[in-house]
Formats: sequence, C-alpha cells, structure tokens
Amino acid sequence: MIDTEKATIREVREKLDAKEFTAVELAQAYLDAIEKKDSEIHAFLEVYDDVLEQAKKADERIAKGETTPLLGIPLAIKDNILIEGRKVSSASKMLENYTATYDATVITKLKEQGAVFLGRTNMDEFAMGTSTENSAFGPTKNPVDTTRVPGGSSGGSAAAVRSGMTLAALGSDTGGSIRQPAALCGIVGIKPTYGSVSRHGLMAMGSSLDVIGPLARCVDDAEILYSAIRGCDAMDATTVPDTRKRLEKKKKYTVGVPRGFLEKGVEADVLEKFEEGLEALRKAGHDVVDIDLPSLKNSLATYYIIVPAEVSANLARFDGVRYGLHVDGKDRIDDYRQTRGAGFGKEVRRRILIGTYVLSSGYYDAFYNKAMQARAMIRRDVAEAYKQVDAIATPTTTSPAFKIGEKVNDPLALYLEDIFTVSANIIGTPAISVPFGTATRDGKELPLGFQLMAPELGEATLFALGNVLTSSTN
Amino acid sequence: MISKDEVKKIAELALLAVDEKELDALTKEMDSILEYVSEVNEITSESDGSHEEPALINVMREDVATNEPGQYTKKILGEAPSTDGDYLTVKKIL
Repeated sequence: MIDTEKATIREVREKLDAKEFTAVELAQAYLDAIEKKDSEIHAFLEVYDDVLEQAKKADERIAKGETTPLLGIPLAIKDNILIEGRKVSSASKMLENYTATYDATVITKLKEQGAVFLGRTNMDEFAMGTSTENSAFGPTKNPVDTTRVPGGSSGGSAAAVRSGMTLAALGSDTGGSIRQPAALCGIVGIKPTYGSVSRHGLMAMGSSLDVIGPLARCVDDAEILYSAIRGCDAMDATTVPDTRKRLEKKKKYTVGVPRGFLEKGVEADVLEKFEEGLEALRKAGHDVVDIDLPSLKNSLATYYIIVPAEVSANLARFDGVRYGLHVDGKDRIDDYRQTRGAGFGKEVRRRILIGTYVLSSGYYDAFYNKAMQARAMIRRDVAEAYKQVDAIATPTTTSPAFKIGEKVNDPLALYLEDIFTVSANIIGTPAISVPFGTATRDGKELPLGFQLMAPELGEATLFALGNVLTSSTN
Repeated sequence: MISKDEVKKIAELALLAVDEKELDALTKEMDSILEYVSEVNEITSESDGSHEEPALINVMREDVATNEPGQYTKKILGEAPSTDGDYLTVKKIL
C-alpha cells in the first residue's frame, strides 16, 4: 500500500486527505520499516512508544476536515532538538538520561501542524563529526552500503530518510552536518539562512553558525518542511525578522563555478558528475560561468578555529551540577573535571581543548582574532561574487561515502570532509545538497551530492535549481 | 607547535580530566590540527585588519515573564544529579 522508500510528503498528503489510508496506517508502515531495517542501519537512538497515539490524534483532525502540509506526516528528529518530556542526548554519555523540559520552537511549529514524531536519530556526539562514528551509542551505517558511513553529523536522519524509515527528518548544520550526510546517502538536505529557523531548543555547538534544517527524499519535500519550521522567534534574538525580503524564484539563473577551488583533492569521477550537473543546468536554460573566489579555500581553516572556540564556551555548561552526568571527584573542582572527562567523547574533548587554546590570552591574536579577520574577508569576497551570479555550485564532497573506521584515527582527514560546505556557514547563507549521479567503489554505486549556495534568504533559488538537477536525473 | 605540557595545562583550564596515557596521542592530533588552521595567518596577511562585524540590530521585546513562577522548577530540578529541596547541592566551596 505504502512504499516507504519512495513516498513523498506531497503524495502522502493527498492520499491522507483523500482517505486512501489513515495516519495510523501510515505511521504503522514506517514503524514496520524501522522494525525491519534499523537493527542493521542503527539510524534511531529511540523510537517513541506513542507513535500510533500521535497518528490517531492526526486522524481525528483529518476527520474534522482539517489539513496542514504536515498533518499526520511521520518525521524523525535529530537527537539534539528538544521535545518536552522526551529523552534527548546529543548522542553523548553526558546526557544519556536527560529529558527535555520544553519544546524547541521548531517542534512547537511541527506539533501545531500535527506532524507525527517517530523517534530521535543518531548523530556525532554534540554534532561534532562528519561520519556519525562519534556517537557514544555506536555508528549508523549507510543504507546504500552498510560497510560505509552515512556522513554526519546528521547521519541518523539521512540514513532514516534514505532507507524509508521516515518520510523526512530534521537535522542541524554547523559546517555541513545536513548537506554532507544527505550527499553520502543520496537524498536532499538544505542548510537554511542563518537565523531563518529558530535555534531555541537546539543544543548549541557553534552558535554563530548553527541552523536547523530538513533532510528529505526530494526538493519539494525539503521546501515543505522548511516552510513549516522557519520564522522569527522571540526566544531566539538571532532570528531574521519576518519582514525581511526573501529572494523570489525567477526563470533564468546565473550559476558561478569557483574553478580554482575544485582543482585539487576532488576525485576524478566526482568532478565528472559535477560537470554533468552543470551541463544539466545549461540545458535547462541557465547560464553557467566560471568565477574566481580564492578565499573560499580558506574557509575550512577559519571554520576549525571558530567552531572549537564556540564549542569550548558552549559546552562549559556541562558541570555535573545542574543536569546530565555527574562523576564524583576528590573536591568540587575535581567533580567538574571528572564529570567532563568521563562524559565527553574523544572528538568533543579535542575540540574543547583546541577552543580553549585558541581563545587563551597567549594565542588569541594568532588564532581566534585571525579567524575573525578571515571570516570578514570571505564574507566580502563572496558578497562580491553574488553581484555577478545568483548561485555558486560545487560538489558537496570530494568523494563518495568512505568506509566505517577508515578515517577514525585521523581527525584532520575527517575535518577535510567539510571543505566545500563550511563556507556557507561562515557567511550565514543558505546551501542545498541534491543527489546527482553516483560513483562506483568496490562494485557499489555510491551516491554523490551537488551543492548549490545562494545569497542570504535565497532558499527559493536553491529549490528551483535543485529541482532542475533532480528532475534531469529522473 | 603544541607540547604535551601545554595540552595538560589547557586541559586543566578547560576543567577536563585527561588520562595520562591519552596525552601523547592528543598532543599529536592537536598539533596537526593547529598547524593546519594556522593557515589563517597567511590568509589574513593581506587583510586590512578589519574584523568580522556581525550585522547587529537591536532586538527588543516586552520585559514580561514568559511562564508562571515555578512552572518549570520541578522538571528542571528533576534533571539535577543532586538536590536538597529546591536547591542544587555541590561539595564544600570554602
């Protein structure tokens, strides 16, 4: 009745409204898919025990003739977004038994629409990572090839969508954590404009970069979910006022390609597919031009100073006193040390230490201060480029999904996964990854992502061009 | 770039217990990461020194309580590892 690996929100909406099936039947189909597949994939950290009750409530609203885009639609939520009364752990031992005391603003919005929450998805601990191997509760596997990573940090959300265990999911993106797993799992992921979606109730990682966004099977579904969660929020003073003008869709776009940035490090067949994507855009009547943006390649170094700095400040709140894990030490100060030492995993500790280092008085000027200068330069350069083009295109990653364990002892190699994605976070602009083609590794066809970036509040551009690319491959 | 002793010192400042036998690996990893990110020094050699200036605007709202007194007290205290009535308990400070 319902093919959960193919269904889309729009199609399911019509069928729910036409009473072809009920929200309860729909939810059951997804619960069955989870039951069948998740023991191998491990996309979920928890499947809620009241899914059918939530769906029943949606059915009651549908029976009354009510409809909203997401009424009765099953969704999976990344484990760093708060839902009142439910466990939320950021895939960390630190919060293993923590229960959220309030709803994140995005959750309030989804509840108003009547969405059905299936469960919380696995991730890299506190969203730090690019493979979901940093979860304190074991890695998630890529549904396309279970010997490979699904990407990260929103790897559980991406794997759940790809394998038909949810219709769509929420993730968070600080440097590529929605787009990179979307690319490696062959689905759509969008990082919205910074501040277009409220961060209230999202566990903070890099507060000047974090944003919540959708992962979905197709561009239209991502747009439906994005429209549902965005908006100004009194609880997050960094949200963009609703009165600010959004870029509107237009017929013909000019897409810029930062050639100099693609010269090194991209695998040959990945680059080939990317060229095919550009060709598809041309064929659809859009202009594709080369642009020179040398500062883009500096984004990654800049990012990996800013992020650990913000991490070290944000994660100072975990003191073993107010909430979360507590490990007893020999005195009060040692309580903090032992709690944090035991509660945080390797990558989190590494970033706290690097952040503390780059913010320390002796090194602040050489690192943090320079990174803030670089951030200003990158922002200026990219703003200059957007005077010539409507969007900037790159591959989402340099290669398809890598093997589980392959890079686990090389933190820097894992950081390099973010090379194409971090710049959009550094400047706060929106970016999308859409599936485009595959690359064959060890006899398996692995998905590739095509990334498009747009100026602030230019999500419409990304949805329009994203649709061009995905419809050209169908 | 960074020595084992410095890592130890930083860990103390960050209130993070680090295992002695983990220190060597950690020092090596941090060293390679710091070497990579120090690339920002080259990038900014042409900078005019201007900093990231966030597009700041004043965000105002009425100074009103958003919840009833005590509405969340029980829930929040329920998450604390150790409490005494409505207080959090910690080891002796002085």
